[in-house]
Amino acid sequence: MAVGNTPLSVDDFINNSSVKECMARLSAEFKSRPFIVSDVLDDKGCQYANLVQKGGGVLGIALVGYTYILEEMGIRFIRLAGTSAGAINTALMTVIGRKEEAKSIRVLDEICKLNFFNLVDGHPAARWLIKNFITEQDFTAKVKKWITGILLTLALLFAADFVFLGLQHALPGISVVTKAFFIFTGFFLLLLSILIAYIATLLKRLKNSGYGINPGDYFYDWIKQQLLANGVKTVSDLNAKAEAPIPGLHLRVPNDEGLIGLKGDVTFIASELVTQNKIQFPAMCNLFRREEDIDTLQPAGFIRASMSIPVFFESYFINDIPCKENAIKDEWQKLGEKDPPTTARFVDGGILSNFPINLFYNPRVITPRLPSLGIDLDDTKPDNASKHSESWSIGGYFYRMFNTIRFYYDKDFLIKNAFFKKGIGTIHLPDFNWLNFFLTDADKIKMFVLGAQAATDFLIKFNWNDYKNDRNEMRKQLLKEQTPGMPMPSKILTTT
Amino acid sequence: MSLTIHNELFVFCLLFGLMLLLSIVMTILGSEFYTKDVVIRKFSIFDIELAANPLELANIIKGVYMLPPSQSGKTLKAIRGQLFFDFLAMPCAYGSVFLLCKKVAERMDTPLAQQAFMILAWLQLVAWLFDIVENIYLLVKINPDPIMPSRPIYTLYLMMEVVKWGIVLVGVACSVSAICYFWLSGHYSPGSVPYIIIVIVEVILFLAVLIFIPKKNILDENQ
Repeated sequence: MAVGNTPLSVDDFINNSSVKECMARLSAEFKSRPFIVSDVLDDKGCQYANLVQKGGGVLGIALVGYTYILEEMGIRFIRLAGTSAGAINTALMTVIGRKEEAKSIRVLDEICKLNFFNLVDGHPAARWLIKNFITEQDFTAKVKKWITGILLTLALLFAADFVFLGLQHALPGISVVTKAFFIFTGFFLLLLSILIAYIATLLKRLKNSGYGINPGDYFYDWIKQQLLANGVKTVSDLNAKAEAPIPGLHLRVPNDEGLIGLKGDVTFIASELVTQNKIQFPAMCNLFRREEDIDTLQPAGFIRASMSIPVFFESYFINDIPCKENAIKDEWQKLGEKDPPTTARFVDGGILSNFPINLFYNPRVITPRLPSLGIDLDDTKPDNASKHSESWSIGGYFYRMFNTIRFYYDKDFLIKNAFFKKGIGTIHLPDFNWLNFFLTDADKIKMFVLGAQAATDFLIKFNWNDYKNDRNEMRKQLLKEQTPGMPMPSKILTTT
Repeated sequence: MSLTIHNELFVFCLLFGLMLLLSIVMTILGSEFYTKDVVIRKFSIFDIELAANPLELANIIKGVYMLPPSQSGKTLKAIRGQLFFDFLAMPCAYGSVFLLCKKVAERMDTPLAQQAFMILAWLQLVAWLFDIVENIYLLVKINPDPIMPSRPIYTLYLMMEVVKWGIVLVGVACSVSAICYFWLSGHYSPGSVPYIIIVIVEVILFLAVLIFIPKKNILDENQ
């Protein structure tokens, strides 16, 4: 554990006794039985999987704990996808090193160097408010007290002015007190006016900045620097990294598909507001640039777009879309958009698909060669008071509506394709607020540990043969449901 | 320190009126204030005068140069114009507050209050000086690649801003409160009433002109 002002180091995380315990549990578990999670291996014996990481603000540290355990157990990733915080981890895991290498320790190292509070790069007043609202549970009550205090003081000052002005006709000696009260009142009104003007200015700034409190520039520069440091400057570089071949890739057991189609890629999910679409970067770059100009887009922007929590961060924009060109029009036409915009505006992909595991669904697969793993983040409290619908405030009511809409897209896929749940491990983080960028070092380590523990539990329970059999059963079921000449059933239509 | 000004109330009305007139000109110039931070955005002179940090100031100025050339030229001209007009407005604004504080000091019946208001009056010169320094600083910063000041320098600049605004606003608030007291308690000379009416008319005219200034918005044209 870091002491005093010493910055956190990777050792503080991976040498934590609970993390060591996880590794010991796994060693003990797989001493007596083989550790098999995939049929795709490389020449060093690493097993390959696809990985989806859920979005969840600062809870993303737990994702690193999870992937750390998977990598320590020799699991590597071919296809990666993520939203928001999941997109950040996904991006780093894509660009750092080679595909056959473990990445989590290096991701962790970068996280250790990052001061999370710097990501909240808005106006100092906004930073102060965010910090207090998130870290102080009774801050709302305090604000209410301040407002009451201000109004009460104002009322008392006016009353004093009124009383003393009336009295000084009878008692001329108190005119000094009357003058003093008048000046106090003026002074107090001045302070109040400054406060109101300041709030109005902040609100105007919010409007001018496209309703985002924090510009997100610090994050953009940070992630851009991370990509550059790993040789990713353009979209082509990013694709090259994601698609890099893995030496010695082979199958443990024969499969009709052989190694066909086992090609890496990376996907970041963002929500585009102008045309109201879910955008998968970098696959859908052709919506914004012609193929030959694709490298004029900045890959760091994709991750910035994916993590643009509405209102908390400013939206991310892609300008100068050559919307009159046929190639661009054709791409937009595929999304049913006849009139492509010149500027696209993105917010967090999490408002449409925070856990995009459906990306890895391929209806053509008969017997899977590798699993699609998912890391779910769950910050609901055990005694979830928000389930008592009769006690919701108006804010709570709208929040639940918003959450119902934003979660149902992914939830619907998992309901209809329940088999996918077999590859998903859930990290329970009820004690953490996903927007708390003011985490203590102890909190960061605790989150990492929870991620590591969730991964350990998942690996102990995971059975690759069951996964494959269930996948086969699901396909048989689908084929049974499919009437000849009819389109595939709804389960398949919901997937990409 | 004593200073004799003949017909102070008339001079006050003149300076106050001129200040309002120059404010109208500066408001018109302010309607051309746009910057580009990925997309074109509007900003006000306060955004550069009281930018939260040096980076924000540099970003706003850099963004002006990234606008389409025609708008960039207009915005730069408008910012420089507003800062130059501000030099003209300064003697009117600080002079008005000076006279206001001085008049109130003269009517106060205790030496302490008199001295306090005279100090407030003379402090307007400090505010004026700070305002000059601030405008020169901003004029120097307006170039395509503004050098970001160090944190301490920028903090010093912000403190200067706070002191400047503090002096002016405290002067205005205390004087106006005292004048309200004199008015409500009947301690005013009948000769000052016409000047009060002139000030009220000036304020009404100022507000009316502000309402009728056409609101320009280039955002729709460019996005």
